[in-house]
Amino acid sequence: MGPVRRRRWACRDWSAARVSGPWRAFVLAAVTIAAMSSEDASAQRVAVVAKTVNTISHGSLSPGVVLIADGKIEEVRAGTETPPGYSVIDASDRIVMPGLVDAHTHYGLRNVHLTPGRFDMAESSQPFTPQADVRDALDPDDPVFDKVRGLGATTLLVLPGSSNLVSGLGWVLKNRDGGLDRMLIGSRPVLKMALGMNPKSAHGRRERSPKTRMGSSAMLRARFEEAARLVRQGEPRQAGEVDRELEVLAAAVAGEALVHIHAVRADDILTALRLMRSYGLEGSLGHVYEGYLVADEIARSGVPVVVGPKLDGWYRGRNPPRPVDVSGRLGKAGVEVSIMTDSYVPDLFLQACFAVHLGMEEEEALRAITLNPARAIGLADRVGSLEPGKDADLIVLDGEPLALSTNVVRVLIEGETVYERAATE
Amino acid sequence: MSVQRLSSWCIPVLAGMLWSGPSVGQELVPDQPAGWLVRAGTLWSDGDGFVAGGGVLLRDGRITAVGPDLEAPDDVEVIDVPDGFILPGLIEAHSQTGLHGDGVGWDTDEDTRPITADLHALDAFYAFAADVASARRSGITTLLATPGGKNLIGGSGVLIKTAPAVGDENVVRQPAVLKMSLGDEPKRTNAAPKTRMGEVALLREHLTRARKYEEDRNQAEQNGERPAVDAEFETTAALLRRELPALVQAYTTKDIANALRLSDEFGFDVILAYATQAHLIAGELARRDVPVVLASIKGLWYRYEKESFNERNAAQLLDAGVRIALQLGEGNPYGSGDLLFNAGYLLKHGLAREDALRAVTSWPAELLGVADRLGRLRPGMDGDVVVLSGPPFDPRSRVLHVFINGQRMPGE
Repeated sequence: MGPVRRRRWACRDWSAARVSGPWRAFVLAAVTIAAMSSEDASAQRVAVVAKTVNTISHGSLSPGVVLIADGKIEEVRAGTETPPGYSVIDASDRIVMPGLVDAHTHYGLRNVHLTPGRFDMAESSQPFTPQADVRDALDPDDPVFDKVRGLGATTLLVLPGSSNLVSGLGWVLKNRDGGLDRMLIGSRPVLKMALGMNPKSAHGRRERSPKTRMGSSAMLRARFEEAARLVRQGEPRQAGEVDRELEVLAAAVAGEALVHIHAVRADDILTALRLMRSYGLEGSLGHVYEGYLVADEIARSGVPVVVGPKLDGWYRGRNPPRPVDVSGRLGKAGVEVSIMTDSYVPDLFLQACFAVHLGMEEEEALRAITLNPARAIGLADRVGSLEPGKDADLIVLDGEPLALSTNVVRVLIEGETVYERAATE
Repeated sequence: MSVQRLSSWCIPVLAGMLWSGPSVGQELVPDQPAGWLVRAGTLWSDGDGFVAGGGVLLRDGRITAVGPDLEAPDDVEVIDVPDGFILPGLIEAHSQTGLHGDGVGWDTDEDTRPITADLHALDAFYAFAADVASARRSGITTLLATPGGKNLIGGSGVLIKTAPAVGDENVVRQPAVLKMSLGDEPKRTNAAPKTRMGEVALLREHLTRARKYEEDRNQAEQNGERPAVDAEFETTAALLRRELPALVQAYTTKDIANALRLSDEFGFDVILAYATQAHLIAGELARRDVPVVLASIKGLWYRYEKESFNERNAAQLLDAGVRIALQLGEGNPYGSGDLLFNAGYLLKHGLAREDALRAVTSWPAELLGVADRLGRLRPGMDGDVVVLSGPPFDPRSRVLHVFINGQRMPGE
């Protein structure tokens, strides 16, 4: 572990801002964060020369050059020539592709290296805790961030767990050093929700609602009806009337926060889609192990899904007779598919390799750990592919992306090298 | 364990398993020709690495010939896979596959008392379970099925083939190991132990009583008496006679050290399982020649001691001269039996391709003492063969054919 990093931003800052204003405070927070991160962006011009540049969005160039200025991709061009004034990173025997995006993790919330009891994923004290915020628990010094950076993960959505119907707010991080404020990139927060088993067992077992799927749907609808009414009113209520729980839900209804709904079983998936349609919620579904059973319905909804950590449709209690290529089948049905680690499996590339092993097309599998998750978290304008104007988040590989033996040898985030593989490794 | 002692309980066990129908397995495995000749573009010959172009002739349950220019006898069916790879059947050296029941409770842990040395995994192994089929489809032809890790001593483990059959043709060795477990899990399971001190004290008491049991039996035999059998100590006495090793599930160096101390004190052999911190004491393990069975990918289930998982464990142990084999591990996210894919993940963590293959074929055969029958493509070995559509560890490769005891397993 590196030296202890100073956090420049006290946790209370954003909470105070939110109390003083309505749900729009989220936007305020986002703007503040964006301003803070831009001052750190590298002003350097960098050219990365590679044997192959896989842009993900516009095919591959062999050989190819990625030109970077001020932390953004300036140009991706064929050949090996670099303009004057650029410092050159020679990856001429390497493959370059966008940094990986993991649209469902809990990194930093379960830093077991500190103490065995450091487990801050789930505020399971009540079924609705929308005001819980991962920024208040997240430990940016969790060594797992270093570990997954070396495995190519540059953009991470860190979410609360799934014990509650509404568990709280997750945020998107760039996986770099310098403390939480440098990691947060100011995109919309993501409200974590959950259907099915987890909230039922977390609360039903303690003799409180929800005990059934009927209960969980009814409770969610009741609360979101209130939130929708609040949004329709248009303006915040009088001072003293603050209901922070409701304001967060209102932010989701108003589209200022995305949602990410944990749904494993086919019926839970359909319930999630209905909820999103009823209240105009924008976002994605998570896990979707039985998504292949309702693939057409998901495709029609246009809602993206993030599959995993299990990819073969096997989960305790309901195993299909054969392993199923869940992600591949959803993709073929027209669903925008991403693959997650859930922070329980170590490696997005390993996940993509296993998806290919199950039958998914390689190109699809690579999109599922880059551009598709970027879209699912509302950040496709910044990350997920190598295109002019996007953040210069690049990884350099010593072999084919979907070979089990391939290693990430260098990682750049916004033009700055944040990882280099030691020669001895 | 002597054949007489083995048969005293093994035969009733098998007879009991057979009641549900004598030919269930045969129905699932379609009629077979007198033999098979399998040819493929590449053959894994272990000592020589990959060999271009070759075939394996299977007859009477065994490999009868291996080579580049094998002629097919008339009564033999030929399978040609020009782009394929032929491997020996994979061996998983520690597993609870087949013990989970099929959705009706789990049969892995009889966790009602901390030491259940009288139990045998064979009594729970269900050859028709979905996880056994999945392991077989993925190329595992033999596995060491043991009780889980909740008890200090879970019982004996059986080395067993994965064919859908209940007869003893599936049993390679029984009992193959005595399963022990140290660390967090036994502490959290029963009324006692509650500490590592308690763990070792309870084990020491059991081992002391087993040693006394063995002495009393020997004395009785010398006196020409018929010694009384006590199932509680039968397998442990065999452990103390070094007829089988203890397979000890332990994660931290502390628990590994406790296992080694007990093995010194009572004189028995140890194979470590999981042993996530083993690389920290690799030199000591090499000096003692204690082999380690490792998971190549950390499981999904959270527990503090498992968080010390380190992908470079395998490579570092090998470098130090420790014998290893690979297992899937609890809570494994990849493929419910896909040992080869899992082993492949260590290629990027310092393990050579050839060693990754050995760690799921010849090495587990050696450390479980069955290298004369399993783990290599050689004449005289069991007819356990796997045919892949492409190179091993290429995610696109699929298992095309699986042969167990010379029989092709049903296409799936």
